[in-house]
Amino acid sequence: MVRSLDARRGGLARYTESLVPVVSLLVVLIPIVWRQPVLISPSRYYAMQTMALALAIPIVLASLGQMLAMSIGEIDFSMENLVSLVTCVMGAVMSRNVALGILLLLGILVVYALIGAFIHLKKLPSIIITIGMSFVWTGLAITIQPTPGGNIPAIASDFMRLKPPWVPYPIVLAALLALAGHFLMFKTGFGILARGVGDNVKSIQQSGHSAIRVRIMVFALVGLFGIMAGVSLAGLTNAADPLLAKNYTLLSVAAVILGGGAFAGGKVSAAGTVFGAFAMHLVVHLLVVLKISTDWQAGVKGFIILFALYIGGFFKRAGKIRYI
Amino acid sequence: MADAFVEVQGISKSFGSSQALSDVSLTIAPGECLGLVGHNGAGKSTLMNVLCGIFPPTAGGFLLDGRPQGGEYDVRIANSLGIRAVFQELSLCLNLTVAENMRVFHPEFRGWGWRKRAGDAIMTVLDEIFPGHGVRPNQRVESLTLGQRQELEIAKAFASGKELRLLVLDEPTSALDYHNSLQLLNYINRRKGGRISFVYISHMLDEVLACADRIVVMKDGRISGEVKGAGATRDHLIELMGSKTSAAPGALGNGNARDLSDRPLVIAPKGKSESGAGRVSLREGEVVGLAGLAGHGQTDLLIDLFDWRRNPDYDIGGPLTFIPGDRQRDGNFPLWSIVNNITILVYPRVRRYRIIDLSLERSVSGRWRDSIGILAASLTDNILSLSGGNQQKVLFARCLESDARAILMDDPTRGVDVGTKEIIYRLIREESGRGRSFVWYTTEMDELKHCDRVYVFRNGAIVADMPGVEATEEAILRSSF
Repeated sequence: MVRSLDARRGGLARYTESLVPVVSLLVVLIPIVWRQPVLISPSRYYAMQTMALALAIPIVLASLGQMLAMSIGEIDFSMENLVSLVTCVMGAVMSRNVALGILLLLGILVVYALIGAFIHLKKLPSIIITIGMSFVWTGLAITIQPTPGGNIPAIASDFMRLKPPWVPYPIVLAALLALAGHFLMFKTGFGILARGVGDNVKSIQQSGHSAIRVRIMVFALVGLFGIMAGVSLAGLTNAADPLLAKNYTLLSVAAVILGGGAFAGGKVSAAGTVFGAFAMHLVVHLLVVLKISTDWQAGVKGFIILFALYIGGFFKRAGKIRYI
Repeated sequence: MADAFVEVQGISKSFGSSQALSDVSLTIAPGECLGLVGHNGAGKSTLMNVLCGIFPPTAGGFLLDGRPQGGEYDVRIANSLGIRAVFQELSLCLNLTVAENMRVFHPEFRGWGWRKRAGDAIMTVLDEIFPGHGVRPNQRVESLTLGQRQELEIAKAFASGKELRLLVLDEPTSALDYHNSLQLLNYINRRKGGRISFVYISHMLDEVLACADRIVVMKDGRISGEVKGAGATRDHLIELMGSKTSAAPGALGNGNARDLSDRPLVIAPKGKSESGAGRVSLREGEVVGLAGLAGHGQTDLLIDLFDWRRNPDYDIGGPLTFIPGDRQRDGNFPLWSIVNNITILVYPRVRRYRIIDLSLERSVSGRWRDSIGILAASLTDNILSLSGGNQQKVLFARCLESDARAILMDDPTRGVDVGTKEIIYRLIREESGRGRSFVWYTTEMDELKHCDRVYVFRNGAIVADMPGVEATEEAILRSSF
């Protein structure tokens, strides 16, 4: 009897935990809508609300990539550099030589897979390797696109500007990404192994699985999501810029944590991460809507993120052992 | 025995300089439940790790179903041959659900509907072994109690599509209550006699007696005896675990008892003990040994003593230092040099005009290098450049250089070579002669002979204490079990 009560309490805690990202998104969204009701009125401002939301998609993609890294207890500190580099590849290379552009992107994927193998074999923390790689990515980006500009292939910007009926396109994309992310992490054997590695590598290895394979696949996917983030960002902004995705690294980490993920690894939520990414993106918009002076924006933004993470942490309960 | 499922032939295994198994031979028949008992470090778990493919033996080999297993034998092959183990350290992923954990360990649960099938499989076994367990398949393991996790770990081994041939249970009831332990023993008794063989390792001798057909006793990496399950008694097992192979069956003490009763107390029990359990007292120059099975409260007592400001049970006279058991985690400053690691406790003494003086530091550490033989190319090298034994010497040098009146030691010779051990014993003897006191938790029976008084722990409490000269291995074992 005691046991079943305990089990129910555990279920309830899980429920409140998954509400955190939704609540924090609402906390950001409600004042925006209150100050700018046009944002939810149909049809007339459709294009505008789409633009306001669309720039969240690259952040969603980068955050899902970060989520994969964090599922195995690692972190990618070169996310913003990677995303910026991809916009440069799109702007400076892809428009002139599609084959070379694709080759470069594939090269990035291979490097990411190697990072996964390196972290496993050398037992190095990913933070060190990815900070090192961040300079490599930025260096490459500056080499191929020294100043902002470039000529983004029309296919990328056309794709980002599709207009499905009824529901704004960014919402459709985000929902699909959340579903795909959830399927990957919770419905496939790969997702289970990745979360298992994040929690207890030894037991994964003792059950006869290869931990290096999991780490390689996870990092290859981190690279893939980073590339998709870069392509979508280039498509939306029509710009190639070595610094375009500034702040994406920390925003993506914050989105994962806000979405219910844990730094220690093993614990992630794809839907939560998507909500968290939207909240992170809209925080910036909120400050504009609230007419906060640009002098204060950076500080207030940081404060809001800290507050959201604090509230999130408040609801989370670590898996403490109970003896009874 | 020609039809044995497992036939171990002269397996030896050493880790560095310590010999965990030497020339062990053993057979396990199909359907048999083999009990395996012995003190900590007797080699039981090492032997089972070899059988389960977690690491290879240093020498010797074994046959499964009459076929010899070669160098490529690993966990995967063991699993495919139907060998599974439930180890002391739980191997579940806490963040995954019950069904997901099944998928990790039994990859045959794949394809459409695997979650349902895996959940059904584990629930069927759980219901059969532990009726009323209260576990649900989509619950995350972290929300289960420790006992439920242990039940799941046991059930997981049975709930597979592949055939189970040998199940190793290593202390399976350490987290189970009496009722659940009985359920498990009943289940084993129902299942044995078929195709499944069991190895049951436990310090709970009554449990082993309740389910084993045959009991093998190990000591110091060897098999020291074997008895039929029926008719075996606790006393007989304890006898086999202890004195049989010991050269001198008498007292462990070295015979020259010291009378320290007129010396002042360094650690004294304060007031009356509420629970009535025994408590430790320590006189100046005394060496007190803490014995009993590992994890029965010895380290907790050491930490409580060290944390003396918040300890309501003891009066502590004078500063204490602590030599931790896990030197990698709690002892070393891994980024520092040997010199810094030695002088950290006494840094006021190596200062000149309130600034650290390099030559004073060097002379202090040089003195220790010469007296206890720290084998280092240069004392300014990083501490991790030393071997484990030499790192331990550095820890001793640090604590002995301090002006602590008593030194608390948490199994300080764990994983240390014989030569270093002798040096450590000599240091303890010399320092206790100079009036320094020691509280020494050790898992090695032999080390208790250096102690003036021995306290035996069981289930977090002191259950016996005896003067060192009277402490026999048998008396200690009898109190421990």
